[in-house]
Order: sequence, then C-alpha cells, then structure tokens
Amino acid sequence: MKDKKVLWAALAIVLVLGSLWQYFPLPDAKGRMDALPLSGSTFSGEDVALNSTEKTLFAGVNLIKRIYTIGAQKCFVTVLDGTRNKHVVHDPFYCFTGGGWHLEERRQIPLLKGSADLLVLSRDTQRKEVLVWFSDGQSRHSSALRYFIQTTLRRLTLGVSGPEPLLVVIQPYQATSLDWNAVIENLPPLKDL
Amino acid sequence: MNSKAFALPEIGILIYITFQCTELFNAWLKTPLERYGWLIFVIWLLPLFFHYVRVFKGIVAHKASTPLILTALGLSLIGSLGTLNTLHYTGLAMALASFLPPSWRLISYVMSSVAWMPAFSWFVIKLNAEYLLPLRFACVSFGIIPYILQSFHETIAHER
Repeated sequence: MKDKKVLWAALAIVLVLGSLWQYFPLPDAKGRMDALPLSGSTFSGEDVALNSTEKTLFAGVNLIKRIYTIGAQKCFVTVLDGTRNKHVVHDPFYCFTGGGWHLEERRQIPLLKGSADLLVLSRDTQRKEVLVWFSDGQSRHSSALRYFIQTTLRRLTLGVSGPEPLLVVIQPYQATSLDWNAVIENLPPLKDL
Repeated sequence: MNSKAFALPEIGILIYITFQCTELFNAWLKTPLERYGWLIFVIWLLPLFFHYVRVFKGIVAHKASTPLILTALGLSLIGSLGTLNTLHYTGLAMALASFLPPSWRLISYVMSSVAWMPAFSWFVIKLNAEYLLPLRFACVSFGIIPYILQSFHETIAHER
C-alpha cells in the first residue's frame, strides 16, 4: 500500500515538473545565425526555399539553407539551431548512412578554436564530400556525442551551462568536392558562427 | 488469474513513459536504419510474455520492483527536461523490466534493450553498418536467453 502511494506521488511530481519546464524557454541562437550575411567582398549567397517536407519537419526551428558562391566554387550551406526542437538535429553521419552513403574517408579540417570533420562519401557511382561541425560560438567540434551532452545539460540547467551549439553542414553544389580551405578562408563569417 | 497482476500506479507510470517514446515508434516506421527495431523490441518482450503467462496460470506471483520503476520514471523525467530521447527509451526498458522477478538476469536484460534503440545503430554504423541487424539479434539474445531458459525450466518443474 505504501509502495502505491509512493508511485502515485512520484508520477504526480513528474507530471507537474514535466509540464512546468516548458514555461522556462531557452534563448535561441538566432542572433548568431542572423550575423551570417548573404554577401560579402569574397562571397555571395541566396536563400533556398524549404520544400513542403522540410517546412513540416523544421516548423518553428531556426534554419539557414543557402547556396553560396565563392569565386568559381558553389556550396550548399545548412545551419540548424535545435533550441526549439532538438530532435531535428542528428549526427550527419547517421543521416547520410541511412540515406545509403558509405564513408570512404574522414579527416579533420582545423577551424578557429576547434575543427570540423570532412566526410568523403560514396553511394553506387556517386561521390561527395561534406564538411560538418557543431559550434556554440566559442568552440567548434564534430562530435555528435559532445553535442548531445552539451544540449542536454543546457536544458537541464535552463541555459546556465552555455549557448546552444549550431550544426553547420557544407556540401558542394553541383560538384563532388571543393577547395575547403578556400571556402573557409573566403566565407569568414562561417568561422564565427 | 492473479488479481495483483496489474497495479494501477505501475500501469500509469508505464503508460506515461511509453507516451514519452513516440519518437522511437516514428523512427521504427520511417528511419531506414531503424526499420527492424520494432521486431527486435517484440523479441525483447518475450521474457515478459512468458513470465505473465506463468503469472496468469498461478505458477509465480506478480510483483513489480518499486525501486526499478521509480528509476525508470526518473530517467524518463530527465529525458523530458533534457530533451534526450535515449533516456526515455532506457526508462521504458527499465519500466518493463521492473515487472520481471529481480535476479542477476535483469542486468543483462536491461542492457540488451539497447538493441532496439536508435543509439545502437548510431554506435554500430561507426564500425560497419552491414552488421547492424545481426548485431541487434546478438545483443537482444544476450538479454533474453537466460530468462527464456528459466521460464521453460520453471514451467516444466511446475507441471511435474
């Protein structure tokens, strides 16, 4: 009988806490994302409209989906802020593997205060390179596990533990690879995200 | 039928935790890497099925573990507050496992629950995605075989 009272009390506490937490919304990373300009002296960009599936999936989520032209190179840049819905941010390697891509090579590209992962992927006769990293504005890394820990702690501490990390994914547009060092050097605001 | 087989607060907690796991069910339906997760989950539930067949036959008594189900509820709460689904799924595994008799087998049973979670495929694909399904079967077997063997042994002993 005592056990039943304890279980009912625990369930009631959980229901109340779980309901109350949503009334403490976290500050998002929109300010940092807005600081990524569409154009600069060495680059120009255009926003790409979301398709109907993306609009549903990313409803209420801060998202940048752009094509940037840097000299003769074009790249697809996606920046995702999971503050309003963390579940839309997945490990890019997990998503690509689920899409049938195989990892041929993985190497690190140094960034300011951290590094990104360059994934070389293949699927049937297709091949492409993808640059991915997570950034909280202070450090950059490519560890999905670290991202999950950072964001979980942030929510448990109501934002005290630090800013929201953004997921940055860069892929070649109508090409299979890019001069990645040139992309990073000539699109400097990316380094500051 | 054992009239104590279903205690309301335990069922209430199980329903709450299950409700927190809707993304898992979506993943099983829509995510390519998770498409056999539901099958592994059904296999993982076999010890519970066999246990409750024996509870209903009066061979063994039902008693859910209060500490385990409270731990499950706590994990699910942290999963909600921290928005981390893996904690919801682990909470579900522990909540279901709490309905089994306490024994050393419970440890391996709860550990093997990872076989039906997306975290398993997330880890395995870093090694080799081709081995994902065989490794899921191997992992879930590690957890359920001791219980299934125990169930058969106790059922045969009872019928003698």
